[in-house]
Amino acid sequence: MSSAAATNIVQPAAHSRALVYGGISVNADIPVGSVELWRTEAIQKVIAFGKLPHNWDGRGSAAPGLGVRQAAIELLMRVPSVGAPRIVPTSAGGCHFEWSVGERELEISLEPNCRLEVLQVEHGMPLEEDPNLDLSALFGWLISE
Amino acid sequence: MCGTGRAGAGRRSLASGQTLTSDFFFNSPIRVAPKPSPIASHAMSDSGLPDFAQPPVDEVALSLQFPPIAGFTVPHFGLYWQWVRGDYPRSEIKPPITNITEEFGPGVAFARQMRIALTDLPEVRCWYFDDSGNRLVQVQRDRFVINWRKVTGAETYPRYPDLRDRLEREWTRFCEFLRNEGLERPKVNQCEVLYVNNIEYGKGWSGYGDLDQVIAALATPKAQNKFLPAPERMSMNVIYPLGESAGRLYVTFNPVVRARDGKEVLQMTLTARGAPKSASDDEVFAWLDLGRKWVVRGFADFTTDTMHKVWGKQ
Repeated sequence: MSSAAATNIVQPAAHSRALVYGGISVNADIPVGSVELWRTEAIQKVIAFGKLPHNWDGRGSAAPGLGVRQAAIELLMRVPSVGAPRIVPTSAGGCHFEWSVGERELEISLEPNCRLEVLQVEHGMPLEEDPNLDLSALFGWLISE
Repeated sequence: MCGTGRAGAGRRSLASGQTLTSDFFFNSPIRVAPKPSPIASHAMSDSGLPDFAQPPVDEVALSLQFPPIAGFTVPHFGLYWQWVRGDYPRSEIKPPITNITEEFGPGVAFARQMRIALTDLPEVRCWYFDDSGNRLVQVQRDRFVINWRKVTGAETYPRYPDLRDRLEREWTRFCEFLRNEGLERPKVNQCEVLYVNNIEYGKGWSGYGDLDQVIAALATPKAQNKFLPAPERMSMNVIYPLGESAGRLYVTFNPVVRARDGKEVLQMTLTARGAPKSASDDEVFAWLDLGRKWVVRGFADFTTDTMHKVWGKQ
Protein backbone atom coordinates (compact mmCIF):
# COMPACT_ATOMS: atom_id res chain seq x y z
CA MET A 1 0.00 0.00 0.00
CA SER A 2 1.38 3.42 -0.86
CA SER A 3 1.91 6.04 1.77
CA ALA A 4 -0.95 8.03 0.29
CA ALA A 5 -3.39 5.20 0.73
CA ALA A 6 -6.15 5.48 3.25
CA THR A 7 -5.53 9.17 3.48
CA ASN A 8 -8.12 11.88 3.58
CA ILE A 9 -7.82 15.59 3.93
CA VAL A 10 -10.30 17.29 6.17
CA GLN A 11 -10.69 21.00 5.77
CA PRO A 12 -12.87 22.75 8.32
CA ALA A 13 -13.89 26.26 7.39
CA ALA A 14 -11.51 28.50 9.31
CA HIS A 15 -13.10 31.14 11.52
CA SER A 16 -16.57 30.40 10.21
CA ARG A 17 -17.97 31.56 13.53
CA ALA A 18 -16.78 35.06 12.78
CA LEU A 19 -19.73 35.44 10.43
CA VAL A 20 -22.25 35.44 13.24
CA TYR A 21 -22.49 37.55 16.35
CA GLY A 22 -20.27 35.65 18.74
CA GLY A 23 -20.86 38.07 21.56
CA ILE A 24 -18.56 39.64 24.08
CA SER A 25 -18.41 36.65 26.41
CA VAL A 26 -14.98 35.05 26.63
CA ASN A 27 -15.91 31.86 28.41
CA ALA A 28 -15.94 28.92 26.05
CA ASP A 29 -18.99 27.21 27.53
CA ILE A 30 -20.71 25.00 24.97
CA PRO A 31 -24.46 25.41 24.41
CA VAL A 32 -26.06 21.98 24.38
CA GLY A 33 -29.77 22.87 24.38
CA SER A 34 -30.32 21.16 21.05
CA VAL A 35 -27.36 18.81 21.13
CA GLU A 36 -27.74 15.04 21.32
CA LEU A 37 -26.86 13.32 24.56
CA TRP A 38 -23.98 11.35 23.02
CA ARG A 39 -22.43 14.57 21.73
CA THR A 40 -22.79 16.23 25.12
CA GLU A 41 -21.14 13.29 26.85
CA ALA A 42 -18.35 13.22 24.27
CA ILE A 43 -17.69 16.92 24.88
CA GLN A 44 -17.59 16.33 28.62
CA LYS A 45 -15.11 13.52 28.09
CA VAL A 46 -12.83 15.77 26.04
CA ILE A 47 -13.00 18.47 28.72
CA ALA A 48 -12.08 15.86 31.33
CA PHE A 49 -8.87 15.12 29.39
CA GLY A 50 -7.65 18.49 30.63
CA LYS A 51 -7.58 17.08 34.16
CA LEU A 52 -5.28 14.19 33.29
CA PRO A 53 -2.13 14.30 35.39
CA HIS A 54 1.27 14.40 33.82
CA ASN A 55 2.44 10.88 32.99
CA TRP A 56 -1.18 9.72 32.91
CA ASP A 57 -0.19 6.74 30.75
CA GLY A 58 3.03 5.86 32.56
CA ARG A 59 5.05 6.99 29.54
CA GLY A 60 5.59 10.58 30.55
CA SER A 61 2.74 11.89 28.41
CA ALA A 62 1.05 15.22 28.96
CA ALA A 63 -2.69 15.84 28.90
CA PRO A 64 -4.18 17.27 25.68
CA GLY A 65 -3.77 21.03 25.84
CA LEU A 66 -6.51 23.63 25.75
CA GLY A 67 -6.15 24.27 22.01
CA VAL A 68 -6.47 20.58 21.21
CA ARG A 69 -9.48 20.21 23.48
CA GLN A 70 -11.17 23.20 21.89
CA ALA A 71 -10.49 21.85 18.41
CA ALA A 72 -11.79 18.43 19.47
CA ILE A 73 -15.00 19.99 20.76
CA GLU A 74 -15.37 21.93 17.53
CA LEU A 75 -14.94 18.70 15.59
CA LEU A 76 -17.53 16.95 17.74
CA MET A 77 -20.00 19.76 17.14
CA ARG A 78 -19.52 19.48 13.36
CA VAL A 79 -19.71 15.77 12.73
CA PRO A 80 -23.02 14.24 11.63
CA SER A 81 -25.11 12.46 14.20
CA VAL A 82 -23.89 8.92 13.63
CA GLY A 83 -23.58 7.99 17.26
CA ALA A 84 -20.98 8.16 19.96
CA PRO A 85 -17.35 7.75 18.97
CA ARG A 86 -14.73 6.08 21.07
CA ILE A 87 -12.50 8.90 22.30
CA VAL A 88 -9.08 8.54 23.83
CA PRO A 89 -6.22 10.91 24.53
CA THR A 90 -3.03 10.17 22.62
CA SER A 91 0.39 9.87 24.13
CA ALA A 92 1.47 12.78 21.92
CA GLY A 93 -1.02 15.12 23.60
CA GLY A 94 -3.78 14.85 21.01
CA CYS A 95 -7.21 13.24 20.82
CA HIS A 96 -8.26 10.20 18.82
CA PHE A 97 -11.82 9.46 17.68
CA GLU A 98 -13.20 6.22 16.28
CA TRP A 99 -16.63 5.67 14.82
CA SER A 100 -17.79 2.20 13.81
CA VAL A 101 -20.77 1.26 11.68
CA GLY A 102 -20.99 -2.37 10.63
CA GLU A 103 -17.70 -3.37 9.04
CA ARG A 104 -16.58 0.21 8.52
CA GLU A 105 -14.53 2.36 10.83
CA LEU A 106 -13.60 5.99 10.61
CA GLU A 107 -10.67 7.16 12.71
CA ILE A 108 -9.81 10.81 13.17
CA SER A 109 -6.76 11.88 15.11
CA LEU A 110 -6.28 15.43 16.25
CA GLU A 111 -2.62 16.15 16.77
CA PRO A 112 -1.24 18.56 19.37
CA ASN A 113 -0.77 21.18 16.64
CA CYS A 114 -4.46 20.81 15.75
CA ARG A 115 -3.79 18.99 12.50
CA LEU A 116 -6.26 16.29 11.58
CA GLU A 117 -5.41 12.82 10.36
CA VAL A 118 -8.07 10.52 8.97
CA LEU A 119 -8.13 6.81 8.35
CA GLN A 120 -10.91 4.76 6.79
CA VAL A 121 -11.04 1.06 7.57
CA GLU A 122 -13.28 -1.58 6.02
CA HIS A 123 -13.29 -5.23 7.08
CA GLY A 124 -10.25 -4.47 9.23
CA MET A 125 -8.18 -3.12 6.33
CA PRO A 126 -7.20 0.50 5.66
CA LEU A 127 -8.71 1.82 2.43
CA GLU A 128 -7.16 3.58 -0.48
CA GLU A 129 -9.58 6.37 -1.14
CA ASP A 130 -9.98 9.77 -2.70
CA PRO A 131 -7.79 11.96 -0.47
CA ASN A 132 -9.97 15.05 -0.95
CA LEU A 133 -13.02 14.00 0.95
CA ASP A 134 -14.54 16.39 3.45
CA LEU A 135 -16.14 15.53 6.78
CA SER A 136 -19.61 15.06 5.29
CA ALA A 137 -18.27 12.70 2.64
CA LEU A 138 -16.28 10.73 5.18
CA PHE A 139 -19.30 10.20 7.41
CA GLY A 140 -21.43 9.56 4.35
CA TRP A 141 -19.06 6.73 3.49
CA LEU A 142 -19.23 5.43 7.05
CA ILE A 143 -23.01 5.07 7.10
CA SER A 144 -23.53 4.06 3.48
CA GLU A 145 -22.75 0.41 3.97
CA MET B 1 -5.31 2.64 23.77
CA CYS B 2 -3.55 5.75 22.66
CA GLY B 3 -4.87 5.99 19.13
CA THR B 4 -1.54 5.50 17.47
CA GLY B 5 -1.85 1.91 16.29
CA ARG B 6 -2.49 0.92 12.71
CA ALA B 7 -3.24 4.42 11.62
CA GLY B 8 0.37 5.51 11.45
CA ALA B 9 1.66 4.89 7.95
CA GLY B 10 -1.35 5.64 5.83
CA ARG B 11 -2.10 9.12 6.96
CA ARG B 12 -1.59 12.58 5.66
CA SER B 13 -2.51 15.64 7.60
CA LEU B 14 -3.65 19.19 7.20
CA ALA B 15 -3.75 22.15 9.51
CA SER B 16 -7.21 22.84 10.82
CA GLY B 17 -6.83 26.59 10.36
CA GLN B 18 -7.36 27.43 14.02
CA THR B 19 -3.90 28.68 14.93
CA LEU B 20 -3.64 31.47 17.47
CA THR B 21 -0.47 33.41 17.93
CA SER B 22 0.74 36.49 19.66
CA ASP B 23 4.32 36.18 18.55
CA PHE B 24 4.30 39.33 16.52
CA PHE B 25 3.77 41.50 19.53
CA PHE B 26 6.51 43.61 20.96
CA ASN B 27 8.21 43.41 24.30
CA SER B 28 9.21 46.27 26.64
CA PRO B 29 5.91 47.19 28.24
CA ILE B 30 5.37 50.79 29.23
CA ARG B 31 3.59 51.38 32.51
CA VAL B 32 1.20 54.30 32.48
CA ALA B 33 -0.17 55.57 35.76
CA PRO B 34 -3.94 55.93 35.58
CA LYS B 35 -5.25 59.47 35.85
CA PRO B 36 -7.92 60.51 38.32
CA SER B 37 -11.34 59.81 36.90
CA PRO B 38 -13.17 62.59 35.11
CA ILE B 39 -16.29 60.43 35.02
CA ALA B 40 -18.84 60.76 37.78
CA SER B 41 -19.52 57.41 39.40
CA HIS B 42 -23.22 56.62 39.55
CA ALA B 43 -22.48 53.05 40.47
CA MET B 44 -21.77 53.62 44.09
CA SER B 45 -25.38 54.39 44.92
CA ASP B 46 -26.85 50.96 44.45
CA SER B 47 -29.78 51.37 46.82
CA GLY B 48 -32.93 49.88 45.46
CA LEU B 49 -31.28 47.14 43.44
CA PRO B 50 -31.57 43.53 44.56
CA ASP B 51 -28.35 42.21 46.03
CA PHE B 52 -27.22 38.62 46.51
CA ALA B 53 -24.53 37.30 48.82
CA GLN B 54 -23.70 34.34 46.53
CA PRO B 55 -24.94 35.30 43.06
CA PRO B 56 -24.48 32.64 40.38
CA VAL B 57 -22.49 35.09 38.24
CA ASP B 58 -19.82 33.40 36.17
CA GLU B 59 -18.87 36.25 33.86
CA VAL B 60 -19.54 39.96 33.41
CA ALA B 61 -18.61 42.09 30.42
CA LEU B 62 -18.95 45.80 29.72
CA SER B 63 -18.61 46.77 26.08
CA LEU B 64 -18.27 50.04 24.17
CA GLN B 65 -18.84 50.01 20.41
CA PHE B 66 -17.93 52.81 18.03
CA PRO B 67 -17.25 53.39 14.33
CA PRO B 68 -13.96 51.80 13.24
CA ILE B 69 -11.03 53.94 14.33
CA ALA B 70 -9.47 55.33 11.18
CA GLY B 71 -5.84 54.33 10.92
CA PHE B 72 -6.00 51.67 13.66
CA THR B 73 -4.24 48.72 12.09
CA VAL B 74 -2.68 45.45 13.23
CA PRO B 75 0.55 46.99 14.61
CA HIS B 76 -1.53 49.11 17.01
CA PHE B 77 -2.62 45.98 18.87
CA GLY B 78 1.00 45.38 19.77
CA LEU B 79 1.70 49.02 20.52
CA TYR B 80 -1.32 49.12 22.84
CA TRP B 81 -0.09 45.98 24.58
CA GLN B 82 3.07 47.87 25.44
CA TRP B 83 0.90 50.28 27.41
CA VAL B 84 -1.00 47.64 29.35
CA ARG B 85 1.28 44.64 29.43
CA GLY B 86 2.25 45.23 33.03
CA ASP B 87 -1.36 44.54 34.00
CA TYR B 88 -2.24 42.15 31.17
CA PRO B 89 0.82 40.03 30.40
CA ARG B 90 -0.98 37.46 28.22
CA SER B 91 -2.72 37.89 24.90
CA GLU B 92 -4.62 35.97 22.24
CA ILE B 93 -5.81 36.83 18.77
CA LYS B 94 -9.46 36.16 18.01
CA PRO B 95 -11.89 36.77 15.15
CA PRO B 96 -13.64 40.12 15.53
CA ILE B 97 -17.06 40.52 17.11
CA THR B 98 -19.76 41.62 14.71
CA ASN B 99 -20.81 45.25 14.88
CA ILE B 100 -24.35 45.25 16.26
CA THR B 101 -26.78 48.12 16.77
CA GLU B 102 -30.18 48.20 18.45
CA GLU B 103 -32.73 49.79 16.15
CA PHE B 104 -36.20 51.11 16.84
CA GLY B 105 -39.09 52.26 14.71
CA PRO B 106 -41.54 50.70 12.32
CA GLY B 107 -40.28 47.80 10.29
CA VAL B 108 -37.02 47.25 12.13
CA ALA B 109 -36.03 43.81 13.31
CA PHE B 110 -34.44 44.50 16.69
CA ALA B 111 -30.68 44.51 16.35
CA ARG B 112 -28.88 45.15 13.10
CA GLN B 113 -25.69 43.17 12.62
CA MET B 114 -23.08 44.42 10.27
CA ARG B 115 -19.74 43.06 9.29
CA ILE B 116 -17.05 45.53 8.51
CA ALA B 117 -16.85 45.27 4.75
CA LEU B 118 -15.09 46.68 1.72
CA THR B 119 -11.72 46.85 3.36
CA ASP B 120 -8.48 45.13 2.60
CA LEU B 121 -7.26 45.48 6.19
CA PRO B 122 -7.19 42.33 8.30
CA GLU B 123 -9.84 42.55 11.00
CA VAL B 124 -8.84 41.01 14.30
CA ARG B 125 -9.71 41.24 17.96
CA CYS B 126 -7.12 40.92 20.68
CA TRP B 127 -7.64 39.64 24.20
CA TYR B 128 -5.28 40.94 26.88
CA PHE B 129 -5.36 38.84 30.08
CA ASP B 130 -4.10 39.36 33.58
CA ASP B 131 -2.05 36.59 35.17
CA SER B 132 -5.05 34.90 36.73
CA GLY B 133 -7.09 34.92 33.51
CA ASN B 134 -9.97 36.45 35.47
CA ARG B 135 -9.72 39.90 33.96
CA LEU B 136 -9.48 40.71 30.27
CA VAL B 137 -9.50 43.66 27.96
CA GLN B 138 -10.75 43.02 24.44
CA VAL B 139 -9.84 45.44 21.68
CA GLN B 140 -10.82 45.57 18.03
CA ARG B 141 -11.10 48.47 15.61
CA ASP B 142 -14.67 49.23 16.62
CA ARG B 143 -14.95 47.82 20.17
CA PHE B 144 -13.47 48.09 23.60
CA VAL B 145 -14.58 45.51 26.17
CA ILE B 146 -13.59 44.52 29.67
CA ASN B 147 -14.49 41.13 31.08
CA TRP B 148 -14.36 39.49 34.45
CA ARG B 149 -14.87 35.74 34.54
CA LYS B 150 -14.41 32.80 36.82
CA VAL B 151 -11.54 30.53 35.86
CA THR B 152 -11.35 28.07 38.74
CA GLY B 153 -14.90 28.55 39.96
CA ALA B 154 -13.75 29.57 43.43
CA GLU B 155 -13.44 33.29 42.70
CA THR B 156 -15.74 35.85 44.27
CA TYR B 157 -17.61 38.18 41.95
CA PRO B 158 -15.95 41.58 42.44
CA ARG B 159 -19.23 43.50 41.95
CA TYR B 160 -20.27 46.05 39.38
CA PRO B 161 -18.68 49.17 40.91
CA ASP B 162 -15.27 47.48 40.72
CA LEU B 163 -15.78 46.52 37.08
CA ARG B 164 -17.14 49.95 36.20
CA ASP B 165 -14.09 51.58 37.75
CA ARG B 166 -11.83 49.23 35.83
CA LEU B 167 -13.56 50.02 32.54
CA GLU B 168 -13.26 53.70 33.30
CA ARG B 169 -9.52 53.39 33.96
CA GLU B 170 -8.84 51.19 30.94
CA TRP B 171 -10.98 53.28 28.60
CA THR B 172 -9.13 56.41 29.71
CA ARG B 173 -5.82 54.64 29.14
CA PHE B 174 -6.93 53.40 25.71
CA CYS B 175 -7.99 56.88 24.65
CA GLU B 176 -4.62 58.24 25.85
CA PHE B 177 -2.90 55.59 23.79
CA LEU B 178 -4.89 56.59 20.71
CA ARG B 179 -4.07 60.24 21.25
CA ASN B 180 -0.41 59.35 21.62
CA GLU B 181 -0.60 57.57 18.26
CA GLY B 182 -2.32 60.52 16.62
CA LEU B 183 -5.58 58.60 16.23
CA GLU B 184 -9.05 59.94 16.79
CA ARG B 185 -10.94 59.40 20.04
CA PRO B 186 -13.74 56.87 19.39
CA LYS B 187 -17.32 58.13 19.54
CA VAL B 188 -19.25 55.43 21.38
CA ASN B 189 -22.55 54.61 19.70
CA GLN B 190 -23.60 51.40 21.51
CA CYS B 191 -23.03 50.12 25.03
CA GLU B 192 -23.50 46.59 26.26
CA VAL B 193 -23.73 44.99 29.68
CA LEU B 194 -23.50 41.22 29.85
CA TYR B 195 -24.06 38.98 32.88
CA VAL B 196 -23.63 35.23 32.53
CA ASN B 197 -25.15 33.24 35.39
CA ASN B 198 -24.64 29.52 35.75
CA ILE B 199 -27.49 27.88 37.64
CA GLU B 200 -26.28 24.50 38.78
CA TYR B 201 -28.52 21.49 39.09
CA GLY B 202 -28.98 20.27 42.63
CA LYS B 203 -28.88 23.74 44.16
CA GLY B 204 -32.54 24.60 44.71
CA TRP B 205 -33.74 22.44 41.83
CA SER B 206 -32.94 19.02 40.50
CA GLY B 207 -33.81 19.02 36.81
CA TYR B 208 -35.95 20.49 34.07
CA GLY B 209 -39.10 19.14 35.67
CA ASP B 210 -38.42 21.70 38.42
CA LEU B 211 -37.96 24.68 36.14
CA ASP B 212 -40.72 26.53 37.92
CA GLN B 213 -38.46 26.42 40.98
CA VAL B 214 -35.96 28.54 39.03
CA ILE B 215 -37.84 30.67 36.54
CA ALA B 216 -40.68 32.64 38.08
CA ALA B 217 -42.65 33.01 34.88
CA LEU B 218 -42.49 29.39 33.87
CA ALA B 219 -44.38 26.37 35.06
CA THR B 220 -43.84 23.34 32.84
CA PRO B 221 -46.60 20.72 32.75
CA LYS B 222 -46.27 18.40 35.72
CA ALA B 223 -45.80 14.80 34.80
CA GLN B 224 -48.30 13.44 37.29
CA ASN B 225 -51.36 15.05 35.71
CA LYS B 226 -50.30 15.86 32.18
CA PHE B 227 -49.42 13.91 29.07
CA LEU B 228 -45.89 15.23 28.76
CA PRO B 229 -43.16 13.90 31.01
CA ALA B 230 -40.62 16.17 32.66
CA PRO B 231 -38.56 17.87 29.95
CA GLU B 232 -34.95 16.87 29.40
CA ARG B 233 -33.78 20.34 28.50
CA MET B 234 -35.11 23.80 27.81
CA SER B 235 -33.91 26.89 25.97
CA MET B 236 -35.60 30.27 26.03
CA ASN B 237 -35.06 33.75 24.62
CA VAL B 238 -37.01 36.77 25.83
CA ILE B 239 -36.46 40.36 24.68
CA TYR B 240 -37.59 43.51 26.50
CA PRO B 241 -37.45 47.15 25.39
CA LEU B 242 -35.66 49.38 27.88
CA GLY B 243 -38.07 52.28 27.34
CA GLU B 244 -37.56 55.56 25.50
CA SER B 245 -35.74 53.58 22.81
CA ALA B 246 -32.74 53.36 25.13
CA GLY B 247 -32.04 49.79 24.09
CA ARG B 248 -33.11 46.24 24.79
CA LEU B 249 -32.64 43.58 27.41
CA TYR B 250 -32.06 40.06 26.10
CA VAL B 251 -32.67 37.22 28.52
CA THR B 252 -31.67 33.73 27.45
CA PHE B 253 -31.71 30.37 29.17
CA ASN B 254 -29.59 27.64 27.65
CA PRO B 255 -28.15 24.38 28.92
CA VAL B 256 -24.39 24.53 28.49
CA VAL B 257 -21.44 22.31 29.21
CA ARG B 258 -19.17 24.49 31.29
CA ALA B 259 -15.74 24.61 29.71
CA ARG B 260 -13.76 24.71 32.91
CA ASP B 261 -15.12 21.51 34.46
CA GLY B 262 -17.38 19.80 31.92
CA LYS B 263 -20.42 20.19 34.15
CA GLU B 264 -23.77 20.75 32.49
CA VAL B 265 -25.55 23.78 33.94
CA LEU B 266 -28.46 26.01 33.01
CA GLN B 267 -26.92 29.25 31.80
CA MET B 268 -28.96 32.41 32.19
CA THR B 269 -27.51 35.25 30.17
CA LEU B 270 -28.75 38.81 30.45
CA THR B 271 -27.54 41.31 27.88
CA ALA B 272 -28.55 44.97 27.90
CA ARG B 273 -27.55 46.83 24.75
CA GLY B 274 -28.34 50.30 23.46
CA ALA B 275 -27.21 53.78 22.56
CA PRO B 276 -26.05 56.39 25.04
CA LYS B 277 -27.62 59.84 24.71
CA SER B 278 -24.29 61.14 23.48
CA ALA B 279 -20.73 59.91 23.10
CA SER B 280 -19.57 61.81 26.18
CA ASP B 281 -18.04 59.64 28.87
CA ASP B 282 -20.65 60.74 31.38
CA GLU B 283 -23.50 59.64 29.11
CA VAL B 284 -21.74 56.41 28.15
CA PHE B 285 -21.25 55.41 31.76
CA ALA B 286 -24.75 56.56 32.65
CA TRP B 287 -26.03 54.15 29.99
CA LEU B 288 -23.93 51.32 31.42
CA ASP B 289 -25.46 52.01 34.84
CA LEU B 290 -28.91 51.89 33.25
CA GLY B 291 -28.09 48.64 31.47
CA ARG B 292 -26.75 47.12 34.66
CA LYS B 293 -29.93 48.14 36.51
CA TRP B 294 -32.05 46.37 33.90
CA VAL B 295 -29.86 43.29 34.07
CA VAL B 296 -30.03 43.06 37.87
CA ARG B 297 -33.73 43.80 38.13
CA GLY B 298 -34.42 41.50 35.20
CA PHE B 299 -32.49 38.73 36.91
CA ALA B 300 -34.46 39.21 40.13
CA ASP B 301 -37.81 39.36 38.30
CA PHE B 302 -37.10 36.27 36.24
CA THR B 303 -35.94 34.03 39.04
CA THR B 304 -37.92 32.70 41.97
CA ASP B 305 -37.90 33.52 45.66
CA THR B 306 -36.76 29.95 46.25
CA MET B 307 -33.60 30.55 44.24
CA HIS B 308 -33.15 34.01 45.75
CA LYS B 309 -32.82 32.27 49.11
CA VAL B 310 -30.25 29.86 47.68
CA TRP B 311 -28.26 32.84 46.37
CA GLY B 312 -28.53 34.76 49.65
CA LYS B 313 -30.75 37.67 48.64
CA GLN B 314 -30.23 40.52 51.08
